[in-house]
Amino acid sequence: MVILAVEDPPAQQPAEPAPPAAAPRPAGTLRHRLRRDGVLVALMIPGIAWLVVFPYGAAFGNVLAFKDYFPFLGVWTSPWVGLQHFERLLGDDRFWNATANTVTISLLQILFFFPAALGLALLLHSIAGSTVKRWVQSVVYLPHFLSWVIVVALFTQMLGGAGVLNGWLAQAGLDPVQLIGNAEMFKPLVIVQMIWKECGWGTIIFLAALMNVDEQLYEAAAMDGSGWWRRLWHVTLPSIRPVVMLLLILKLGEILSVGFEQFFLQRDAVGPEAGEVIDTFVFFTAFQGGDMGYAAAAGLFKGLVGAVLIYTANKVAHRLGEQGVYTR
Amino acid sequence: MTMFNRRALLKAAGVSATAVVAPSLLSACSGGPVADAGNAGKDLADWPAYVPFSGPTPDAPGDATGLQPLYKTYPAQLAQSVKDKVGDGSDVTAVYLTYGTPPTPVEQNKLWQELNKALGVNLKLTVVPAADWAAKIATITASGDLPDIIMSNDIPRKNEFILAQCADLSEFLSGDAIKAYPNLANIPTVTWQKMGRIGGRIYGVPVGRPLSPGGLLINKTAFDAAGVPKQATREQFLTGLKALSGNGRYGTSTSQGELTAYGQALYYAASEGVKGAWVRQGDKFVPGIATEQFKAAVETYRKAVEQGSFHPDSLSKDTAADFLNGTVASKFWGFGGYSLDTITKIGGRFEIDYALPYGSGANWQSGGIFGFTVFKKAPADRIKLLLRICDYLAAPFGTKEYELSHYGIEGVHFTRDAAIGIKPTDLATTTEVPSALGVRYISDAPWPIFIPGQPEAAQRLYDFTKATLPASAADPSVGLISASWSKNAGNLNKIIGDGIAAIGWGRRPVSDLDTIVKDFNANGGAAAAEEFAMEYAAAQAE
Repeated sequence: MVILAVEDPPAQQPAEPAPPAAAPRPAGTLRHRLRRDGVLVALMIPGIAWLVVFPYGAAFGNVLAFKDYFPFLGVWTSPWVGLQHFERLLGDDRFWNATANTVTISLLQILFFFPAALGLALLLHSIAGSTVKRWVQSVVYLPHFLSWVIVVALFTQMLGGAGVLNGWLAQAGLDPVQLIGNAEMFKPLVIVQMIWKECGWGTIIFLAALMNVDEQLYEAAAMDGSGWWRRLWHVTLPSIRPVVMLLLILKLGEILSVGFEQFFLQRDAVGPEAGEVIDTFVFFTAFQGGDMGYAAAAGLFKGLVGAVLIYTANKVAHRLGEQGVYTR
Repeated sequence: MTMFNRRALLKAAGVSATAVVAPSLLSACSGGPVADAGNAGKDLADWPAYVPFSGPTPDAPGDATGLQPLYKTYPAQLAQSVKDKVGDGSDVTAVYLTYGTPPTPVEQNKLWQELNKALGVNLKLTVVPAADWAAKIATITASGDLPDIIMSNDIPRKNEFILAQCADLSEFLSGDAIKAYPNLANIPTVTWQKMGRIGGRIYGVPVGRPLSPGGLLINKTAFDAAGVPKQATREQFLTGLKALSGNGRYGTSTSQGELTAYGQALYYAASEGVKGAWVRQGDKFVPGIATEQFKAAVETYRKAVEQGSFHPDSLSKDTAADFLNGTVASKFWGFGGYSLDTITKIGGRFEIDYALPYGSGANWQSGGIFGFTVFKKAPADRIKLLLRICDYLAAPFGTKEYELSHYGIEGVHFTRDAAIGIKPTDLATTTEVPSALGVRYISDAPWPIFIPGQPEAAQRLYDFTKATLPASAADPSVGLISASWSKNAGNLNKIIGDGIAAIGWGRRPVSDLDTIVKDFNANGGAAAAEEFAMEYAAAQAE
C-alpha cells in the first residue's frame, strides 16, 4: 500500500473563499488586455497562421473528392461528379487492400512500437549517472535524424539477399534467408525498421512525463518496502497514465497513417499486396495516375475515419475516468 | 465593446468564399470545360516536311529503318547551321526534368552564360530532378503561371491541358512552313508521327530518341567466357545466365521498381515475339501482356529468377553499381546505359554490348521520342522566337551549335584530341557537366552513334542496331490519342508492372496473367484499346 505524504496547509492561513458559480470575465477592455498579453498573442500568431493556412486552408482541397479534377482548369471549374469517386472507392480492391495493410501495420505499431518506446524511456529514466544518461539518449535519438532512404539502404545492405547476414550464412555453409523483398516478412520488417529508427525519439514525451512523477511517491513507496517492480507498477505507470492515454488516442486517430516514405521505397520490392498503404495508394493515384479527384476521395475517407476514431477513443477515455485529449 | 466571435468570423468567411466561388461555378455550368483531344474525324495538319542535313560523312550510314549513322571519330570540320539572329534579348522561361544533378546557377555556369549569348536571350531555366517532376509539373499546370517552354511529360490530363493552354504550332511547322527552321526540318517524319497530333493539330516539338531502345546491357567479356552464343536460343540464354551465377555473382539484374521489371520483361517479351506494350490483332488493339508470347516471356523470366540468376535485391535497390563492378553480368538499361560514362566507370575491366534478344533476335522499337516540348500561348512573333531557340538546340551532330549544347565550350568543358576528338575537362566531369544543364530535353538533334574515344564500342552498338531494327515493330499506340489512356495510363502501367514483378518473382502463378489482363481492361484498358483502334483507323485513312 502506498501512503501519500501530503502536507496540510498551515493552520493560520485563512481558507480561500469558495469560487463563484460562474467566473467573471477578466477585467479591462480588449485594448487593455491586448496591451497586457500582447507578447503572448504575438507569439501565438505564427502557430495560428500555420494552422489556418496549412491544416484548415488545405482542408478546402477536399472538394476535389467530388470533382473530375483537371489541374489546369482549377478546383472550381473542373466538373462535379458527386459521389462517383466514393462509389468507385467502395468497389476498388486495390484501395481496400491498401486499407487492410495500413490498419494491420498500424495495430502492429501500437502493439510493438508503443511499448518499446515506453520500455526504453523507463530504462533511460532508471540510469542514474547524468553523463551516461545523456550519452545513451544521444545515441538512441540519432537514427531519427537519418532519412528513410538511408535506413532502407542500410537494412538492404545488412539483411538483403546479397547482404552481410547472408554473406555470413554462406560462409557458414547455411542457406540464405530472404528478409528483404519478401512479402511475408514485410510487415515485421517495417516494424523492426520503425523501432530501430524512431524508438529513441519516441521516448521524449514519456521521459518528460516520467520527470514529473513526484519523487516523494517513490520515497514513500520505498519506505513501505516496495521493490523496483512494485514502484513501477504502483507509482510510475499510474502517474504517466494520462500521457500514455493521450498518445494512444492520438495514435488511434492516425490508424490510417503509417508514414509514406518507408513504404514508398519498399513497396515495389514486395508488391502492392503486402506493401501498399493508403498514403502510397493516394500518391500513385494522384501523381502517376493523374487522377487527383479519386486520390482526394481516398484521402478524405482516411481523414474522416481518423476523426471518428479520435472522437470515439476520447469518449471511451472519458468514461474510464481519464482526461483524454481534452477535459470534459 | 468590439464583438469578434467565432460565429461572426465563420459567417464572414462563408460570404467571402461564396463571392469567390460563385462566378467560377456559374462558368463551370455554362458548357463542357474540356475539349476533345482525339484526332478521329478532325481536319489533320500535314506533318512537317523532312529536309535532311547533309553533314559530315559517317563511317557507316544510317537508313530508313531508323538505324543511326556511325561516327567513329569526331568530325574535323564543323558546319554553322544557324546563321540568323535567334533571340531579342528577352527573358525566356522553361521547365523540364533532369536525371542528373541540377545545374549550378547561371551566375556560376559558363555554359548557361554562353548559351544565353549564342541564343540572344536570357534563359530562365527550371530544371527539376526526375523524382520530383510529377508533383512539380502538376503544381505548375494547376497554378496557371506557365513558363514559355514546357516539357510535356507526365502532365496530368496532358492532351486536354495542351489543347486548352498551349500554342497551336501547326501554322509554323506544318508542311513546308518548317523550312524556316532548318534544324527542326532535319527531324525525320517518323519522329513527328511518334509525337502525334492533338485534336488534329501539331502542338509540340519532339525530343527525338533512337528507334532502337537498347535493352539487356551485358558484360561481353563475361558472357563470352561463359560461352553464351551471340544469338542464343532460350535454353542457351538461361544456361548462360546460370553459368554466370554463383559465389556472390549473378547473371542478370534489373533496376529498382516494378516498372523497370516490366522493362526487363520487355527484353524477354521481344525475344518471344511481342514487340511492344500494345499489339494489333486484326483491327483490334490488344495489350502485349494479353498475348501467348508474353506468357512465354514471363515464364522464362521466372525461370531465370528461380534458378538464382537474378541479383536477389534487384527490386530493392539500383544494381547499376553491381553491374559496373562486375557483380552482375547483365542489366536492363536503356539509352543512357551504353555510354562513355558507363565505359569510363568500368575502367577497362570488361567490354560492354547489348545482348541480341534470344530466339528471334528481333527487338521491340522504342517510342522514338523522349517526349515533346510545348509552348505557352503567345503572339506569333514570340512563338517564332521560341521555335528559333528549339531550332538552335536541334542542330545536328557535326555543327558548332551541337558542339556547344552537347559538349560545352572548347577549352572550358572540352579540349580537342587527335585520338578521341572531344576530351572532357575536369570541370565538365565534376561541377559543370554539360548534360546537367539539360537543354537537350527542350529540343534535340537526331542521335548519331558516336562515343568519344571508343570506336569499337560504337561499332558494336551500330552492329546491334543494324541486326535488330529491321525485324522490329513499332508500338501502334505511339502518337495516337486516347482519353481513357490519358486519364488512366499511370494506374494501368502500375497494374501491369506490379503483376509482372509478382509473377516473375514467384509471388503469383503465371496463370494470374489472365487476372492482370482483366484488371487492366476493367480499369480503363478496354476503353483505351477501342479508342486507339478508332484513332489508328483515322490515321491510316489520312
